[in-house]
Amino acid sequence: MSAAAKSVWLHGGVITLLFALQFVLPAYHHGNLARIMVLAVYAMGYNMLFGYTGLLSLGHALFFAAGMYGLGLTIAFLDFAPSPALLSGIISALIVSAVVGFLALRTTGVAFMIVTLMFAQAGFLTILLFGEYTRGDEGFVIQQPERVLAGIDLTTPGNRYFAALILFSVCLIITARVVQTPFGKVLIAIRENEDRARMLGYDVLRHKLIAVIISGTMSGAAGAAYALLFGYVGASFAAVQYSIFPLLWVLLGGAGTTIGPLVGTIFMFYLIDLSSGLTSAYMLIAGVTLVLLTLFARQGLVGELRKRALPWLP
Amino acid sequence: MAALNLLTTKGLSRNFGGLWAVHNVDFELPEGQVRALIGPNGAGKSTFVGLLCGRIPASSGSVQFDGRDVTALPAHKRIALGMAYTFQITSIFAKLSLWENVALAVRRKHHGDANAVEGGVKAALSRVGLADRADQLAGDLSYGHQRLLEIAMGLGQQPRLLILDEPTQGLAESEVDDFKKLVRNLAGETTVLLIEHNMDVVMDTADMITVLNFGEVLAEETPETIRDNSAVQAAYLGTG
Amino acid sequence: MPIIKKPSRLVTRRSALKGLAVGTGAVAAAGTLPGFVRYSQAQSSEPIRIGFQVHRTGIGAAYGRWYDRTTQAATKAINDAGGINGRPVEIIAEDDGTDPKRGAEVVEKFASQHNCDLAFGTLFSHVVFGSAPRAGELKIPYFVVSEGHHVASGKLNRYTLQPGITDVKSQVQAMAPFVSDNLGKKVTMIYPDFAFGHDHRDYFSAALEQQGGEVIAKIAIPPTESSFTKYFPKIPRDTEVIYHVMVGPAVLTFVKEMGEFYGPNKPEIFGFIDSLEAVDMASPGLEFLEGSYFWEGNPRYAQKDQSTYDKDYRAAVGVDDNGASVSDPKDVSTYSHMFGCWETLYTIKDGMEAAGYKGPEDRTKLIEAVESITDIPHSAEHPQGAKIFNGKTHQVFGHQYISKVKDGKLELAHTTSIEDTLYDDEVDYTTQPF
Repeated sequence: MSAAAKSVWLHGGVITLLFALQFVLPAYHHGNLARIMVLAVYAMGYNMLFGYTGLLSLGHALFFAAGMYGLGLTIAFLDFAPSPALLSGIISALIVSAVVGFLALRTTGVAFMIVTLMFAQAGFLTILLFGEYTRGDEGFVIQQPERVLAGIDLTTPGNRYFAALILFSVCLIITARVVQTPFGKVLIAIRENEDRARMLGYDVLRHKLIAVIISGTMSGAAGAAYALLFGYVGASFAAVQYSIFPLLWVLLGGAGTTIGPLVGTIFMFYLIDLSSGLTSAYMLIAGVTLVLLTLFARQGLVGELRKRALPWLP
Repeated sequence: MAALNLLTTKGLSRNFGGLWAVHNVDFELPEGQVRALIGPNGAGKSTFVGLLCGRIPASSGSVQFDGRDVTALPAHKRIALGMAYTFQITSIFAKLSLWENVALAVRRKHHGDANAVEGGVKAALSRVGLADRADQLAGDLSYGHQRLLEIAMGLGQQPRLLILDEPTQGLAESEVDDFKKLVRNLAGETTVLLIEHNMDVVMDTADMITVLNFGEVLAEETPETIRDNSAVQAAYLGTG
Repeated sequence: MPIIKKPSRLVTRRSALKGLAVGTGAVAAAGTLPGFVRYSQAQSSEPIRIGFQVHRTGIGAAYGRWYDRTTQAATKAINDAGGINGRPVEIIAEDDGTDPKRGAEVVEKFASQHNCDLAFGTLFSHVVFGSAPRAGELKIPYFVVSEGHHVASGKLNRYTLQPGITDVKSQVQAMAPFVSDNLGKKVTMIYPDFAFGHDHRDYFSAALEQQGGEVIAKIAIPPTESSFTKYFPKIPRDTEVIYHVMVGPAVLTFVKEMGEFYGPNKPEIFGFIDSLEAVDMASPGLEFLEGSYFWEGNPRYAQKDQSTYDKDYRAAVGVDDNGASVSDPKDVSTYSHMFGCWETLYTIKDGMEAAGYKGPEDRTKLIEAVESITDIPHSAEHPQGAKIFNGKTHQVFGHQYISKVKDGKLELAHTTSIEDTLYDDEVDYTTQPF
């Protein structure tokens, strides 16, 4: 079987499995998985830049928040219906990521991390500064009537799950497709050896910028979807820990693998959910697990699987 | 002087903190020639080719490629115009397969045409004798084979000008012979600029030799005459 | 047993149920009958499961610790007196990390995983905002103890109620008469530049204007600030009162720097205790606050005319006369807020008993029962003071306390009327379908 065929089977299989799970999961896990799929979209967006292009951003919360507020504020103040609001969220993230990418890509390495961190911090403070509209740290609720997308009430568990699944599937397919295209191969080449890629005649900066935009837009789509599906818009999603989360999810699941972000997000979600039932030091448990994984499974869960057993994993 | 010059530099210079690594070099490379660039360590050879392909910006002077002033162009645009550059220190995609390494080189020209890419990769790998290892990870190759892969990546680009920075360094005797054959095969097909320490390789492959010393052109002659050039001898004295 | 001596104020069925509960409680409390079914309610002795959304970690951890202690104490008191409808109360606590996303997940866990009857106990507004939509969708009653104006503003939903603690809008506006009558008419406000601070700015400015006073300067402090010296010169010279609310750990620096700026010739100072909750008034640097005034939700120091209700409540939670833990005088409580947990649990009890609550199928009956509560008398169940519950806005209103710092302690100087805290309804949740 060719790599492309395997990719189709793998991703089709993952989507089918997620589709089937909604019929068997108990209510709690059903709800969790809907949330996890949205967050996994965020992780996939992050993975496009970190996992495939090799750029470590510490400011992705800005893109997530751009999507979230792009949707939330247009609903709250311009009376947008959910579909144009969703589009507004995605476009906001696209614009923000294009601007941030354009400026931040003048730097590399640690400087890039710091510049993206600063941008995200500036974004966070901007949300607080415009508290009149954003209600700052407190945030605001998107009420049930405003969450009916094209006649589908996204506040019911089944519809919410389905909406999350559709978004997740679209982004998974985009990711799987992009990394198979010549463009995606160049991103991988930049990750592996930027100088070499440049000396093969590729415009490294342009490729990186497009990667930032795809990554940021996907992250923003997750932010907009989170607001729409869970009814809350708040500044905490723009805070620094929400820039760290996707990094952790991707590291856990496997950077530069298509399904790693989903696996990492599920793993981390249940790690916290289960350990918080045992002790209030659950972040310590999460931290120790992360350290162990980075020591003994450097490539993340899916990455190790690829290394040890399934080298064809995309 | 019948052949057109593919590459010309005028007064090309590069200053590193007050030191001229390359100083006022006028250089002409006619199309189709295999040119060797020699000189003692620190003569500025790598800096010079860095200036040619845009890895290093020039302090002054100009570079013309194919009748066009490329001095202001970034590296990737010069490459896109038909230069190819192989690194002195092996620079490959260690975690990718040989096939993918060469495919990255081939693809830029055949965007979207999978068959052309496939053909180009096969041809380039065959020419350096690595076709049967296409699925291996580049990082798993021996050092010598990595050098060959690097050359294959250069070939895969089907360049008008192929710049090879010390390609035979670390190759075994037999591999060096194969390399010589390869370069001779390329003659007429593409223009080659070869930085080389191995005088055997230089003498057997080059049409013309340019000698750099202290960042300046010391001599430019055929292999036959260069042997008798006392200035070259002097420059090489003590350097082995 | 003062807990059960309470005038009936709801329907008679409710009184009947209460009687039953009293009887059960008496039996249980007496404990003289070994082997007797302790919770003798006919249909079920399954515990009532209350999901407690607690800030164990994150910025709200100090509050969370005391919310937890108060909740455990109230639960013990309720269970010792026979539980609710003869059923024991079981608290299922989950940490929300003081994070809105985790908060929503925790509510989901209560509803779907732990099969809780209701969720309860959230303090921080952003966590309430993040969680309330989920509570509404999962149709699980969500009793918050947050003092935010979110519930009464109409931004939440029919399943979210705040019957145990007053909201910031009523607290702030009730301060205006006292400030303008006793401290001065020209006020400079210093507040954190985020939602909570903006609430103070907007509600107090409006209320003070009604009293004939004026806020002459509004100084917003960015949340990242750790030094405040550059802000003090912005205070106008004719300022008679400085009104400060600085939520966060920087408060000690703020007070110290304000002291250095003014020296002995300071204007009147009025502040909200929120930033000094869980902070010892005797902490070095706070000397400058001597003689200044504070809003308190519930007086931290036992007052001379302390009610027996406060005395008993204090003892039950384990708080000494200085508002600190009886086992550790350095462990200062969040006394102005945590009573809300105690009172909310008793309101839940009242609501469940009035509704004849049997299980999750009666959740809407519980909400309707709580909505029909109006007067809440000062009692052992409600030791902070008498209250009026507004069923339409799901918000309770009550007395506010203003204390003066004397010898490093807070001494009650004024108690507002409940009327001072009232404002027009902004929502009628009872018109929303379940």
